[in-house]
Amino acid sequence: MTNFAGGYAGRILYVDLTDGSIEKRPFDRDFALRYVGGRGISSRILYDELEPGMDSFSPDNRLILATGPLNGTPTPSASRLVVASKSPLTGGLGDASAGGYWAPELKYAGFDAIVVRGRSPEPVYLWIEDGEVRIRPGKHLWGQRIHDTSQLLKEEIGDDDIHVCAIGPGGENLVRYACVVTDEEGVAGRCGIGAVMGSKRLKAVVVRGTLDVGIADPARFKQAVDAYRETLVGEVWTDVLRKLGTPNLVAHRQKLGIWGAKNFQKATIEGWEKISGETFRERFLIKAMGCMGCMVRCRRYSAIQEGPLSPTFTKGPEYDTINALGAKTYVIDPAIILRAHHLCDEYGIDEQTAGSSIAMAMELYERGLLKKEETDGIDLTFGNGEALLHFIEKIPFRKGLGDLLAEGTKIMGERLGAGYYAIHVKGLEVDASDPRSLVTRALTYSVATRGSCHLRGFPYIDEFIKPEEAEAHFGTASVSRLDAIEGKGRMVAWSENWITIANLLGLCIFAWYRSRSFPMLIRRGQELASETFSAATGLPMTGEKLLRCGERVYNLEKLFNLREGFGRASDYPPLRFFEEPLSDGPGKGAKLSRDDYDRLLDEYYEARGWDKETGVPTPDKLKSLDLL
Amino acid sequence: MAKQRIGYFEDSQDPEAMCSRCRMCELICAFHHHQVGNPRRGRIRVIVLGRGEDIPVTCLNCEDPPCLKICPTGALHRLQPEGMVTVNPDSCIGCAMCVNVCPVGAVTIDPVEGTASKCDLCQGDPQCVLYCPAKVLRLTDTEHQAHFRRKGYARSLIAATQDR
Amino acid sequence: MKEDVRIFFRPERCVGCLSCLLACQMEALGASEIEGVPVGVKPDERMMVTYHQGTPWLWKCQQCASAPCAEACISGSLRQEPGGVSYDPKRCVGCGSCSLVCPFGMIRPLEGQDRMTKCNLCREEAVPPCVRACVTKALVLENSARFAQTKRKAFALESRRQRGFRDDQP
Repeated sequence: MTNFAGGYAGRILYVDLTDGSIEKRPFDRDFALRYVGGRGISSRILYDELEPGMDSFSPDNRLILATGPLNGTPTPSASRLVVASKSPLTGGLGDASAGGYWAPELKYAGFDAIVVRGRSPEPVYLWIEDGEVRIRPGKHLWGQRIHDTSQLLKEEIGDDDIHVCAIGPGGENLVRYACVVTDEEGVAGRCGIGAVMGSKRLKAVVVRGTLDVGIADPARFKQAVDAYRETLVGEVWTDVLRKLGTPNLVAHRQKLGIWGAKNFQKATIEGWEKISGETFRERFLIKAMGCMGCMVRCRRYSAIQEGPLSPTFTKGPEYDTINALGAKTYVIDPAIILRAHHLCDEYGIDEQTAGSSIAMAMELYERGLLKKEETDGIDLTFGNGEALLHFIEKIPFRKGLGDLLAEGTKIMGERLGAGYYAIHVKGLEVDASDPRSLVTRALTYSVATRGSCHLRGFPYIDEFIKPEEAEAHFGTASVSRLDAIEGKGRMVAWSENWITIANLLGLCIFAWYRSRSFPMLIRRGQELASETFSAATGLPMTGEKLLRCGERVYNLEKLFNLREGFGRASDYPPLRFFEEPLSDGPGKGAKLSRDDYDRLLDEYYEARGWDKETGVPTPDKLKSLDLL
Repeated sequence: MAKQRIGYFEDSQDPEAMCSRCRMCELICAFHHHQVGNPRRGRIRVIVLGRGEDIPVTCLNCEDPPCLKICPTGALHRLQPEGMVTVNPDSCIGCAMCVNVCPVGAVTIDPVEGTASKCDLCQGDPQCVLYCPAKVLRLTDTEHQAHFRRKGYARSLIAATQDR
Repeated sequence: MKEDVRIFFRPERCVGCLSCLLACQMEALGASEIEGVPVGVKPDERMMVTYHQGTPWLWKCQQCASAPCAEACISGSLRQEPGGVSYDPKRCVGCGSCSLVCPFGMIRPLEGQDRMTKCNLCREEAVPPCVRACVTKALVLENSARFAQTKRKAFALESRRQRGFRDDQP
């Protein structure tokens, strides 16, 4: 069935929901060697098939679900699915990823990716089993939450050994940051891809696959995988993530004073221990869980089993949960945070943007820019946990203030004349931490091709790279100094190409990028990754070529955004970070300097081979990447 | 030596010592036996019960195995009296009588080979045990498993008396 | 998948009512009602029920995945498919090689005709009449992987109870 010796299924499924047509399009090894998979497939197709300026809810927008060649193999943590479309939240390139079991299952069902276009006249779901594709009526599922949707589908199909990727009421009601949820718990959260799915009236994509994912050279593959696993065993991050999950970062944020608390007005949190990784583990953790083939097991499975919010059983929380629903809104109550998180997953809305939007509304309320009549009669102050839960229930249905909150902070800012308090880049809310004390972090978030994102690049290199390594790799030892600026533009650019590799292969970055050793980033991230790829697919690949693929895909995404009107001005962090110094904590008084940022951005554009004024990749750069 | 099998040993008090549903056992089993990525061709399967309960299930190497007794061709056999029941793929006709009678569903018909497929303890070096990150799969036998349960029970008895 | 199914027999549910056998025979005779059963005509023996110390056992073609009958067939009328063994009566020459190698003896000669007969899962029907007739669901038409999975799940549920998980935990 496949024209590849292994890894790839070799086919992309095209579904048109307007006319119900189904097409299974093969791709060749040339395409595979240039774009690899995951974001490579989605960004290439989005660039080729979308008209610039189109509305994200237009039937002509594509919804793409893309896997990588290593999904479905025993490669460590090869569990990630990429979902992509033109984002209704930003109007630019949108993508998100989710772990779990869905991406491998799509491979077992015989496809590398799905491209959905058009709009169904009635709600439907896709049922894909071993290469067979059916569009089935889904009206009875419309309106259901994520768990109930899964249950109904399992009953209807008569098998609970299936994997469901669905939207909740949030996606159905076109909440601009609605998310896509796989297997009830793996959330592809950001950029509102779930709303695009809802606009197509596609409720779910269900897969079951019993076919093989081939492995071209099993002996070589086993060696590569075993070597890969060995690098993870001694890794300190493996242990930390297993014990506390991503919430381990709570203590770190407090220590450095880099919270974005109270909509980025406060950098430290009083009583932060109540929402630390340790607290969540003690009070709510049932089990550490792992995605497909994962030895890290950073996923949490938690439960509230007593008190007014019980029973709540949910995957999570993540650090980002605590940040968005706890720090930004200043609701320092772990049970409320967990409950709010669960509701976001059940209704299918991105908790990060939800938390950011509510936090922004809280600041506007406290400043008198939003009145009580406008906030559903609620005293919408920071710390009001009841209000948080109230609006999480309203947003998915666009009820009351929920209708405005469902638009995200950028549009909220436009409608209320309060753009200053909308903390986003390109329309995607700033997650992670406050970058005011570290301009390199600000750069990383702001140039990310999907909007503000801390996962598009890997700036933490400057926390552990040795001076001689920095000199050798980035041309200056100053890259090894946390507070230095010189060379950081090059560093961020390199790290973006490098991180993209994981998103092309289908690998989880937590079992791939975490290290305190720069040589390990090269060894695991490039050498072992390319070795595993070659062994699985039978295609020639090197660490350098993989990096080049990452750079190619990144440039393609930049072109997409440029076409949509995102120029140099969109690569800047929010005004607040330049205007207001940090009010408290170890970084008190710090704010971004325009000169520093401009210098850094200049260096970044130069390192990328992009025009300094416009950010447009030069023809030479595009030629060198075979994009021209 | 008692008949060995793969046993699931968890500590429900330790969040890291329970099956994490990573399904690495399924993946490595299928890879070891068939050199492909396909967990459904693994001879161990993680059963998802919901509410965070996941339990790997595989052959129990019964003392009095229904599969072995019902096999019309003798393909299911033991090489040694205390060994693991294994399939001789050359004499297996894929009649699925073993599938029919196995009480725990540990035997299936491999979709590619067309013969019965079950745990064979990887000739004494079980890969699932090696690759399980939570270390909850162990090569065991009934005596060892009973001992483990007795220990756990004894612990809970002590804990109960200490609470008073 | 859909084609890759066979009939599984669960003896613990069988009460020996023989409704399955009756349904099979009526199907073979082309009769949809008892009154329509022709007199004096012997139906195809595609199914047999025997008793052993009081326990019934249902015999039928097992739809083997590596079938000896398909290998033995000299005319090509018996063919190995993913879902079992297909049978083309037009090609059958009645040599009986298949019945010699079938360990279950469930390829049987047709009375008065130079060919064999066996269970073919009544693929024209949505559900085979025997499965439909069985009141206790002792007969299950299922894919072997799903059949095994159901048992694994039941076993996992049982072993979970033994570990002291409360059933009333939501």
